[in-house]
This record gives sequence, structure tokens and C-alpha cells, in this order.
Amino acid sequence: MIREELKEVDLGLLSKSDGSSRLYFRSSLVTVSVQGPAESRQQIDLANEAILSVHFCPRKVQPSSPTENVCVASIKKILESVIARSLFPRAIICIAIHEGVAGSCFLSTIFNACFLALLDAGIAMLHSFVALTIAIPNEISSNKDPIISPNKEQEFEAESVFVFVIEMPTKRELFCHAWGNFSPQHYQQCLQLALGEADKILLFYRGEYSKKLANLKFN
Amino acid sequence: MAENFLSCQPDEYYQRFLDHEIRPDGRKLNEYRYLNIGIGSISTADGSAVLKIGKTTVICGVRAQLTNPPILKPNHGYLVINVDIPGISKGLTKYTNDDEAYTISQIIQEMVSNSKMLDLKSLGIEHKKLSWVLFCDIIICNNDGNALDACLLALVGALKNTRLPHVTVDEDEDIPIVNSVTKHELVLREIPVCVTAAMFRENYVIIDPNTEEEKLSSGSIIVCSLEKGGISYMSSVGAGLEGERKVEMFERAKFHSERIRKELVTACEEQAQSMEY
Repeated sequence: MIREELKEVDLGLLSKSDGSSRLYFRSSLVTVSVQGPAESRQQIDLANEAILSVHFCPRKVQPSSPTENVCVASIKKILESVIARSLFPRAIICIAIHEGVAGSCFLSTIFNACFLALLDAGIAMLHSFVALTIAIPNEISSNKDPIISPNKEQEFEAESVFVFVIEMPTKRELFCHAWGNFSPQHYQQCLQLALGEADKILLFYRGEYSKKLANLKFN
Repeated sequence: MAENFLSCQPDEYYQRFLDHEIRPDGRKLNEYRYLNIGIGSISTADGSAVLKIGKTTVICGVRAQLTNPPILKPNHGYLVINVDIPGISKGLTKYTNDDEAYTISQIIQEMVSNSKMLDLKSLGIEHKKLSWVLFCDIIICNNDGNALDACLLALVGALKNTRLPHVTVDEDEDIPIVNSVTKHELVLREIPVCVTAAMFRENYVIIDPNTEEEKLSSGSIIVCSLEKGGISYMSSVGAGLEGERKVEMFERAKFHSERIRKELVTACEEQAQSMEY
């Protein structure tokens, strides 16, 4: 199921970065580059853990949608809780997120690409996480069931859209961003769906990383 | 003694209070601070509101100007929301954090557009020629935590207070004729109210956090509820609040938003009546 929506995934494409990933999922393309842990400047280092510096580089000078900008602030908080920062005191880890195409499922693509880039960089993490988007169709559409990883038309016409980031394997909800018009029952329904799908996405990560490691052996 | 404990180990200090389900400032976990709403205080603005949630003070002023409508939507107007956090709101030791002001303005923009509060068609005057642009300036004068709730509430109060003059377009000379004597109010289809809560040690949910509680929080949740029921925006960061606990949070948000909405509507009606006299 994931293969239909996933068009392209690439790990380690940037030679100058410690880790990088490019993910083309549904109609969203995101490239993430990770540099670190590296020596930080005196003014901003922490004695007991690493500092995370997250930059979002939109295609246009002004971010096109409020949603992306709001969530970029959340990305830093989530990554801070996931990365084992205490293993790298007085260091800085820089994560640069480049927008290629901001299509449907853009936010979940950003989160997934960040995770793949961190895997590629070999940075120690306390947990892994997966992100996915679920849309609830509006009243006039023929199919009333929630749609996992909607395409652009489905996302635009949806009554409400949920973006979940699930911590694995504990299956705790790390982040949830929802907009539209929904009820608590909709939220619970979508959360259950997300928890079910999360395993498939993690399996996909394992597959991609295994491929990368298999390629390394021949080099 | 207590101050030393607070400065050395703030987490433990707060934990001692939360074990007894109370906060250092005396509030219960589910208690909102005192709300003080002033509508129409700025006479030079077309609509204004001053709001205080505890010590957090926010002013919102609305200026209406005439402009050309957008090309893709020729009978719509514009709503431009700008949030400013001047240095005085945080004291002299910290400079203005531009990111925070921009983030708050983006969140409010999203809440307002998702709730479909204001029909932008009502700001259109003449198809393809003339429409209103409402510049909403939100200034956070004092930030003692939970500025987002205060900003949205001040914005809604200012929009409810906004009175626009009747404008017609002279067909011969193609210039707008403004009639300032008769003014009409904006039609707000919804009154979105936002409730923010902070999570402490993934265990406690604290409604309406102040600055210290925000610094110590392990996560936060923002819920924007609508008057007609339903939730138009929700953002939760951090583990610890999922499933049933989040549904409980939705109920709490609904309870608080109904009470806050009532206070806002009452304040607006009182101001409108006092203007009539």
C-alpha cells in the first residue's frame, strides 16, 4: 500500500552532509540534511546535552501556508525529545529541511524525511517515530471512510485533516495537528487508524535502511 | 527558602504542588485565570479590544482601508493579522523573539480561516473594483503565559466591535463615496475560542499556563472550539496526552470556551448599549 503513494526515497544523497534523505511521497517532495554532532559556538552550548538547530527552507521566500510554519516550530520540540541529546554534550546538531514540492501530506513527509536523515547520519535516538496524514471526507463525497495519506484533491476537499506523529515501538502519540471541523469521535477514529498503519511505515523504514547497508557492503 | 528551592529545582518545586492537585499561584489544574475584557477603548481604530488573562495583557486594534480586491477572488476582501511582541512584554533581559510573534500570527490566521468566522465576501464592495482590507494589529503588552488565547480573544472582540461605514462607487467618476454617518457591524458567523494547556512530566495537564509553567512544560495542547460545536483547530506537541485523556481535554476546552465566549459577548453587548446612550 505504501509503495503506491511513495514515488521516490533516497538516503545519503548529499556527500557533504553527515546524513541526508529525499522523500517523494504522494505529491510532496522534501530533502533533509543532517550535520552533526559538531562543535558549537561558545555562546549557545549546553553543558549536559546537544543543541538542536532546525531550519526550514521553503521554496518561495514567504512560506505558502500557515500550517507548515507552525509545525516547523513543533518539529524542533519533537526531535529534541527523540534524539539522545545527553550523549553529545556541548555539541550542535543541525537539521535543514528543504521544501521541494509542498503537495498533499506535506507535514508527514517532512517528519518521515527527518527520521530517515537522522538514521542515515547515525545519530542516536531514544525512539523511532513515524508520521502520517488522515483526512475525513466531507458530507457530499461518496466515500465516508477516513482516507489515509490523501492526495491533493482529497486533502483540499476534506472536512478535516489530521497529521499524527507516533512514537515507535511504544505507540505513543508525540504530535497531532488537526484542522477543519471535527469532533472528539473523529479524532479517536483517526488515531486508531494511525496506530494500525504505523507498523507498516516502520517496516518500510527498515527495508530502506537495510538496502542502504547492503549497498555499502559492496563498496 | 521556597524561592531557593524554586530557582534550584523548579521541576521538583512544581511536582510538590501538583501532587496535591494545586498550582503555586493557588489555582486548580483546570482553572483559568481571571478574564478582563475591555471593548472599544481605542477611539482612533475602527474596532478595538483590550484583554487581560491574569497578568497577560493584549491589545488588538482593527483599521479598515479601501483597496482593490484580489485578482482570483474579485468580490472578496482581505483580513491581515499581525502580532507584535515588543521588548517591554518580556522585560529588559530578552530581545524580541520574532519567531514567536510570527508563529502566533500564523496559528491565529489558521484558526480564523478554519472556523470560517468572517465571510470575506462581506468585505467586498464592488466586484473587481473595491473592497475592504482589515488590518488587525495585535500587541502583546505583557506576556505572563498563554498569549495565544488572549490574542485570539482580543482579535474576535475587536472584530465584533468593528463598525464599517457604507461605501458606494460613483459610476460616472469611478470614485468611492464613503458615508461615515451610518455604520454597519461585521457579521461574524462563528466565535472561535482557543484554550491552551501545558503538560507537565507527561502526567499533569495544566489549563492556561503562566510563564513559569510554560518553561517547565514537556508539551502543550491548543484546542480551538466553535460556538456551534465541533473543533476547528487542534495542535498537540509532546507525549502523554492521547486517546481518552485527549477526549477529556476536548471536554474541558469546550467547557472553558463556552464560559469565555459568554463573557466576551456580554462585554460587546454592554459596550454597544453604552454607545447608543
